[in-house]
Amino acid sequence: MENKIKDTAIVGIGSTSFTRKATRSRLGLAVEAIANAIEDAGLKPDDVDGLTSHVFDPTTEREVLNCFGWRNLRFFAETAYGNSSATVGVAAMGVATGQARYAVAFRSISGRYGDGPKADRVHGEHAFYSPFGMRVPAHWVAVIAQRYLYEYKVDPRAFGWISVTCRKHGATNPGAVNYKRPITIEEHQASRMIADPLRLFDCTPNTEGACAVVVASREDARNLRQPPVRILGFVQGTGAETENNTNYNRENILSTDESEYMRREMYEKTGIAATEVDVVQFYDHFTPLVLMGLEAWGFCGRGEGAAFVEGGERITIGGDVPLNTSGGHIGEAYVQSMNHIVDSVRQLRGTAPNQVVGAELSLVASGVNLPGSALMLGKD
Amino acid sequence: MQVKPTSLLGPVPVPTPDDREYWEGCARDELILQRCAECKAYRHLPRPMCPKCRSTRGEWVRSAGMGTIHSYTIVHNLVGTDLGDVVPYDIVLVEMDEGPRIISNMVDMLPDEVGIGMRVRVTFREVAPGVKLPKFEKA
Repeated sequence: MENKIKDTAIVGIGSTSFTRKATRSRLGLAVEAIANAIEDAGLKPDDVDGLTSHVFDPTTEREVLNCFGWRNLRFFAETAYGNSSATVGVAAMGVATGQARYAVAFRSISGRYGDGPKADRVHGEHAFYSPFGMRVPAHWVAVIAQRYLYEYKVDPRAFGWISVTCRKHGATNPGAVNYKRPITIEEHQASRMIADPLRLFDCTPNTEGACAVVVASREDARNLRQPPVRILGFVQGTGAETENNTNYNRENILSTDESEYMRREMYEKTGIAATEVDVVQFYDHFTPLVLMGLEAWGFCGRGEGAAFVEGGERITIGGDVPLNTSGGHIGEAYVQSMNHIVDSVRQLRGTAPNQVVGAELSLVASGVNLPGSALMLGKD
Repeated sequence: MQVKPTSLLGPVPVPTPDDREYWEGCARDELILQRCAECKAYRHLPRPMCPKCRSTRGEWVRSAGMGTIHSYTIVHNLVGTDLGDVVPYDIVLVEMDEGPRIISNMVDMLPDEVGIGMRVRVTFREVAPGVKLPKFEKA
């Protein structure tokens, strides 16, 4: 299977600080992260000729280019759904096709994310959900999680091991909003119920911050400041009868088809199985979906996620499958996985706050149950 | 403890060309479901094309109104919304006997009585002038 992405690399990364309170300008955050990434790469702002962002990001390309004073961006695009792997992947496509030489991908999150509709009227897809009290993503996912518990007969305590692990990793990451604030499984179990079975600690907190990366060709990467981190593969995937975490009319509402298709395609493109990586980053908006993600990508069998994460040892740094090593969304900050990508780049450069010794490969994957995207990153 | 009578737990639905018949059916106390006029496969949410045979001819069929709870959640905590003291409330995913699954609420059950597998029957509640929502009661 053809793979034109493999000759691209991430050459620069940038972040702002991450905070709980929403006080800063979202555009200011984006500009700061992008400026940091450009400098990290050893480039100048005028070198940038491509820009990608997420459709959920209220910060647009034109606002960013008005701050940097760019005369002409040759390539720009917005990507949708799950995570920031597509935002980076499409930047890589821009570079791989010669549309851009140095493309920046960014994500800025300021203020509350995930609020339900505030309007008193609703039409379309959400007319079938929000009038009935489905107001925030936690409600959508809770219905899936409840069925997961029913079918596999596991205790919801199992979800807590994802929280505990992400908080453990965040606790030793000075940049994390939960730095020095690990939690125990008992604290997870005692945290208040949001929507049964999701407790407070099963959900990512609202945070503020931005991250950006610069993508270039592998050849250009070798002439820049940092050790290149190759993008070995970029995949996207969808499943039948798909919505945005409300796949209630799939034959099986627990289906993780899109992730399984991506897993196969990633293997065909790169020759690397997900289970071979040294660091895995799963979109941890909600813990049950991380369990399902581990199953979908082949770390364990279907319905075996609870047993796999029990105690947390396997997924903690030092274990077989170091997960969300900077803390992920639950431990570090919610930047729609752009922070997962930044962490993986640091892991592969050897400069991560929670370094996995000898890390050479990392998978960054979107959450299950909606159209997805994933990146396989590797040390050059 | 009394079952809370709140019928509207969010914004009021507004019909679109794709789903107008569904909401008009609700206003008449009828649960009508969309299916393909060619291959007769049901589909939900309503849409202009059949995902099985790609026909663009759809039809609406009145449901018998019976279903089974396929999953649910109980909402305990609401942040940043206007719903005050209506928690806890249930949200149920009901698989209608015809196949489609719909999100709704029970009208005659306390939250901790809700269970996967229970048989339920559709009923309707007015939430705004001329606008009704499908809800469910124990069958």
